[in-house]
Amino acid sequence: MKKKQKGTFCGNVNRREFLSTVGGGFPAMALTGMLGQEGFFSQTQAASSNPLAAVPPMLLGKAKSVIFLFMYGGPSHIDTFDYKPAMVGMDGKTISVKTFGRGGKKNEGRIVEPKWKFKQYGESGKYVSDLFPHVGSCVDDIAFIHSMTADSPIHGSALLMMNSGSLISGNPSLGSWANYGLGSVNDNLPGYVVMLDQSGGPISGAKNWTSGFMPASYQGTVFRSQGDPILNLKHVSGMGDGEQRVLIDSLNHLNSGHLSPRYDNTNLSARIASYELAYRMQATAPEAIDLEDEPEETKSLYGMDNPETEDFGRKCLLSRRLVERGVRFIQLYSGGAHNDDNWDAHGDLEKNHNHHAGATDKPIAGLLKDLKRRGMLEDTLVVWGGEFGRQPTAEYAEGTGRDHNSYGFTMWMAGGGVKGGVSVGQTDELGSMAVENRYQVKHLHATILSLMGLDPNHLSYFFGGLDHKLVGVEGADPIREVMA
Amino acid sequence: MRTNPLQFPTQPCWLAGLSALLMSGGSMLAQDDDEKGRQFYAETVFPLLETRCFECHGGGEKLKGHFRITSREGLIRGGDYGSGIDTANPTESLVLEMVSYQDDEHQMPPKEKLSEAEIAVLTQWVEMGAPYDSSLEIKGEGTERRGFTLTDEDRDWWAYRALSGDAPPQVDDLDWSKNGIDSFVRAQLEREGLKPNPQAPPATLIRRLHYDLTGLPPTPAEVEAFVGACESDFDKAYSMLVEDLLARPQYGEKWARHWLDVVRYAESNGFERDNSKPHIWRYRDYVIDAFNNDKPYDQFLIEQLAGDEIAEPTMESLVATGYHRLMQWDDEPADRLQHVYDVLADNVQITSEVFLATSLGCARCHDHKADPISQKDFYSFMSFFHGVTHYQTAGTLMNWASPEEKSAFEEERKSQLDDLTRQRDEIKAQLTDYLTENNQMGAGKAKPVTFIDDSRGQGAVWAYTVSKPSDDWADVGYINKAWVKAAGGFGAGSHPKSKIHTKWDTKEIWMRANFGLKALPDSLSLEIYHDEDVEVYLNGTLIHQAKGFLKDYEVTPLPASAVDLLQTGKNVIAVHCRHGAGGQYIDLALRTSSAASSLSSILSGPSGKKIGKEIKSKTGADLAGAYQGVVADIAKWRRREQGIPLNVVTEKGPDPGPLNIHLRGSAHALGAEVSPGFPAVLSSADSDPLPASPAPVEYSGRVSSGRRLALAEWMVGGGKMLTARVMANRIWQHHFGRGIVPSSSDFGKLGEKPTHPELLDWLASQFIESDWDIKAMHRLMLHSRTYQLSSEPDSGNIASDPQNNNLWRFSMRRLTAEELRDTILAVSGKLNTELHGEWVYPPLPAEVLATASRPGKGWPVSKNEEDHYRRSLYVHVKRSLRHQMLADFDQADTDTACAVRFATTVPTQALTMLNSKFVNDQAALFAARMSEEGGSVRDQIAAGLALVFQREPQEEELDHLVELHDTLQRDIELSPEEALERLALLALNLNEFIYLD
Repeated sequence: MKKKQKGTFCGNVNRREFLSTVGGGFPAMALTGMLGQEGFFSQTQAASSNPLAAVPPMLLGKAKSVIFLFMYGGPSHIDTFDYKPAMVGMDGKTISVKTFGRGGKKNEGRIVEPKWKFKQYGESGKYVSDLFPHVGSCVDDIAFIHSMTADSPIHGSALLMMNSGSLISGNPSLGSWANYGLGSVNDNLPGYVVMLDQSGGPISGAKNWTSGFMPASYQGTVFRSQGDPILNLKHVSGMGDGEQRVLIDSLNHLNSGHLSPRYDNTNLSARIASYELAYRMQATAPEAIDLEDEPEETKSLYGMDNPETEDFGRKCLLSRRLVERGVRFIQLYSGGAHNDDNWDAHGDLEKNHNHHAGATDKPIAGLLKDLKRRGMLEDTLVVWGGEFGRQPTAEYAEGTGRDHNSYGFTMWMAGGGVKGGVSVGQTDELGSMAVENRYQVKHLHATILSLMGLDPNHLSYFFGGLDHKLVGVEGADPIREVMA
Repeated sequence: MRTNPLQFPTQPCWLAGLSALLMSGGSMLAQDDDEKGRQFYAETVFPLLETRCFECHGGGEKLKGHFRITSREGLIRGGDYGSGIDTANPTESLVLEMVSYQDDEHQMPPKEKLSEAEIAVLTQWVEMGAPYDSSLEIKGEGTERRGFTLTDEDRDWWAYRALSGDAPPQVDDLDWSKNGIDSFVRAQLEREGLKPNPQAPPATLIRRLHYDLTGLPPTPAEVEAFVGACESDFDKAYSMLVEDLLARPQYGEKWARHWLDVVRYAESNGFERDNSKPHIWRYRDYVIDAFNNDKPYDQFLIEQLAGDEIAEPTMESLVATGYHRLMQWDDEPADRLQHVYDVLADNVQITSEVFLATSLGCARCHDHKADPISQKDFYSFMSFFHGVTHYQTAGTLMNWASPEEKSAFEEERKSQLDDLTRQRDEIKAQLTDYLTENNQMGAGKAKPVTFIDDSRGQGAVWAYTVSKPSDDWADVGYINKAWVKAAGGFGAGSHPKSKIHTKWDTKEIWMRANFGLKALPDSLSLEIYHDEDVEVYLNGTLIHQAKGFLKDYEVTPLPASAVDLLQTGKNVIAVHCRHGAGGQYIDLALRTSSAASSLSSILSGPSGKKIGKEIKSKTGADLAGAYQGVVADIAKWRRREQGIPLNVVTEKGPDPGPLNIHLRGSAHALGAEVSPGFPAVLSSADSDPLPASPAPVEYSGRVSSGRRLALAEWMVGGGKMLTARVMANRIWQHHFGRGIVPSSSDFGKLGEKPTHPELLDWLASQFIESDWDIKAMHRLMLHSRTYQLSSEPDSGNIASDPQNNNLWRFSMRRLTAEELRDTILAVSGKLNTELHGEWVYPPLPAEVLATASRPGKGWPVSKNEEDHYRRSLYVHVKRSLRHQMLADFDQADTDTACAVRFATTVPTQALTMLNSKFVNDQAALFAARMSEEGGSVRDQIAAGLALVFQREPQEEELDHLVELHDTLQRDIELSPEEALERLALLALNLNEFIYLD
């Protein structure tokens, strides 16, 4: 850090004076809108040009923030949360069952029985497999939806479906809709944050957190758990805070000179304000990921004391910190890249799922427990699941690998107005397809939006001659059985 | 309650009655008495329908699929899929089909299948003729499907009317009006009591014009010259500037970008593999050239839609049809049939928006809710594209060459190959001798893993066909159920060292085989024996291509890019072999690259380099290098095709077959058959589309339906009033920042209305009269006084027209993403203004690359550093990996047509501009450029500001920056050079730099 700046004329222009000196009434109004999200202007309700300004919800909703734990690749529901006792002892038997995965449509297959034992947990007595003992201890806060279906059993299109409600790309993602509907309560951090796996992004990369046909301001911002959390947050070759302040003050001075004869142009004043926001974000974002002041007990609750769970645990803890700082929507990927780097267990099911569940079980349970003890679970919705589940039968002549299954799979939710200790819907006794209370991805989306206080059938964005909705033209009702 | 599919669930009480009914036999039902029917409905059917169907079909507010099951009338009338009941064949009734769950697409109720017992009730009821109890019926009022009828009011919508033909109005201030545009604008200003701004100063105008026409800033010298020239004769100087800029190649680049936005130009397919679209950049170059050469708009339109169907196609007109290949494409869709129509529907939507500003896409599932467009209009329009082959990586490519060029090339190939093969055999003999002597023939040895074996070994079972399959035959998800399965080694006639297991004696063969992988290998090699031309695809991507025939199996180590195509789970290898004369043969193996017998694999193996060096030092000749070189040359000559490869539209033949309306947009639910026809509201006296009469066209052995040509000709013929309005409005939009119709791709009822309807009609007429001359339209608009007005505020005008709807001033605008990046490069002196060519890959931050599912892959940074500084137009447009800076500054999304870009202001833009490597690197170069100017620091800063502002800096600004330069040195302890770099960075961040007056 270089020497602190002395009183030069531009160093003297602090934000308060700067606001009072630029232009006439017009820009000052816009500036208060831009800068007034917190601090001394907050009581002024200015006509704001900030697309991300907080908006009151449409309905009564409990969830203020969402943490979507995306199990990319498709975890096997019958090996995790969808208990299928009838399959025990059937290993290796060839049965007739309709499946559709990467290997195409099949009418029979060799059963691979669930490879982990199930135990009952909590007052609800929910059966959970030995892959998730820690999450098992939280079942009374969780609502399981066992009858999910998706329109595609192929990663690329199914990811787009789970994230944006459509098999075809170009539509805004769930987090964009949440921010479009509710805005952000903290200007110093992005309203929509995505944390990726160390091995890479999911298939289609940024398409999964795109704002599609909405403005780029609603797109997800990739956030890293170590180093610089946001791209370009730090100056490439290091620039001290004081130096940057000098530059921004000078920028403000010259920009205000430029604004003066163009006083009615709110875009110019918004851009001036955006530099102040960026300046503050540079302080806020690193502070958000700085776990220095978190007690050891908390860190170990998230599994940060164990190399196996450290990475996902850190991200889960970060998610809580981001929620505390008002971030609206956080998506956290377990698994990245291709093949066994994610939950896509085509080869050795046991090796794959032991690895991914092992890395996430304790952190996820830690997140739920930590949110709960802080009283944050009430208004934080946690969603768990992948783009689809896996088949009850083997993909190959040998081995335990399972192909994709979009005919039936499990997702779960906790907090944010979700009823705990309930299970909704059923797959058949093999878990091959949903048979009771079948739900589509749009129903899950409708539930998430409803819990946030957004009416899924009225939250729309006009584009290309159509009022687009996340849940599609036809609309969808939320899954009321899981809502408290 | 758990459901066991093998058992009936516990029966609800209402079923007890049914059981009794069923058990008592058919005699009771056979009486078919009204009262029995009523009772059966009331007691047995109604409770079932009420719990399972009423919620969505008439019992409450919802009427999904426009289908009402709560009344007999509703059941018979039916919904989107047709009548609920088939009285002639009750068992064929739609309601029964829906509840049977036989079809993946159509399953009711969607939440949960009815039990067998419940289905039995419904079946019984339908067979009885579906009696209702009238006291329990719920009848609807007007919520059901409506028919589609056009009214005079529909046809009289401003966009669909004939052009008005009104001459520009008379205005009082005759001197003010420079042309017709001004008369319309001034008349409206007078009506609204607004006073136009004064003319902008020359320095402002030259900046405005440069960006408008080239997307780049003027140099300080150009500004000085223009300002000087204006002093003597403004009109002359202005005209000369406009002509100068319109003649620059950068004009075409700038205006091509506008066009590429609306046609959602992208260079990759999206989805799991997100492969690039080969050679599609030629389409981008076509658009650049079209603007630069002032190609008439009608021709531009016709070439893109049907450049292959016109009288004498040229390479240019074929390239133009790349228009049909720009969309996203899933090579492995869950529902293949539906995806074929998703792609076609995308084309319908884009084409109707781009050329007609009509959102036909909204009528895919139902009649349009707001505009007078029926579902029949949509599918009749889709018929024009129905012959287009589905996108496929290789099937859409063709080579452009004359027959003479082709045969000359084949001779050349043969002689080259003969020569190279001889050389190879000589070197091979020497090498083998050497390696045998030195006992190194086993150097590359590691047991190869075989995925697909050839007939010398275990062999493989292939699915094959000898009749031409559809274009997607090589895709991963292609279903080859109809193909024959047989052992590999296909051929006829005698071939040395071959093993024919299956006879193949036709011209062509297509083969596919699958193999599963649990782990990914790190190398691959192909051993192939072919007679003659062969193409090999791995997971849908071409990995090997060779012309002519071989006399033995040859080993080809495959590049890393081929290895990257492998995935765990299913992999597909697909082979196409084409045969001319003599015996035919095709067989191949795919294994990891370590076959000990292969010289190539020894030399490219782990100790290959060492062996190569040894040989060189002992024999004095680089035999290994020479061998590898000659092997590469052979592969190159085998692969090469004469001519220029193009990514173009192709059709299936003269008649694409019938197309039906897709009920609710589902390709699995067919309605009435349609034929090509133009939207009724634009063409027809009744409510049906005006039928087109296309004639099949043959060109160079390829036959197409001629339908696209018929559509294109109608657009510039019968439908030209709309076509002309739309394009005149787009040109206006990009000059003035906003269209006369602000929603420039939606002229329908949900779009915005024109601010100056008479002016738009006049411009459209001028456009048609000029023979669709785009540059003439530029001249007209740029020479108006309206364009030359200053942008400054006027408090009186702002109060009554804050949005500037009446054009009392010129509206300020921000630079576009591309203009911003290009200008930064121009200011730093790095901009490479090379025109045309393949896309480039400038470096991206590691953090951005890490978001890809194959981090670092798919973005091979261009080797030539100069390519990093090409204009942004040439940066590769990859769907799953966008250029962060361009995306952040609102570059158009590529999955949907972008008619109007956003101009957002968010803090992450400021972070990019202040902190990123790109901007700071360019700032450093910019600073170096300033210091090269020499003189005092003040002089250097002045020179820099002139580059950034394109005007003379003011003393006050210089005072401030000189002081800042001192402060940074004194207080922050920067060196003078560093301080100047900071000043350069500051300059690139100024509002004046990024906003135009």
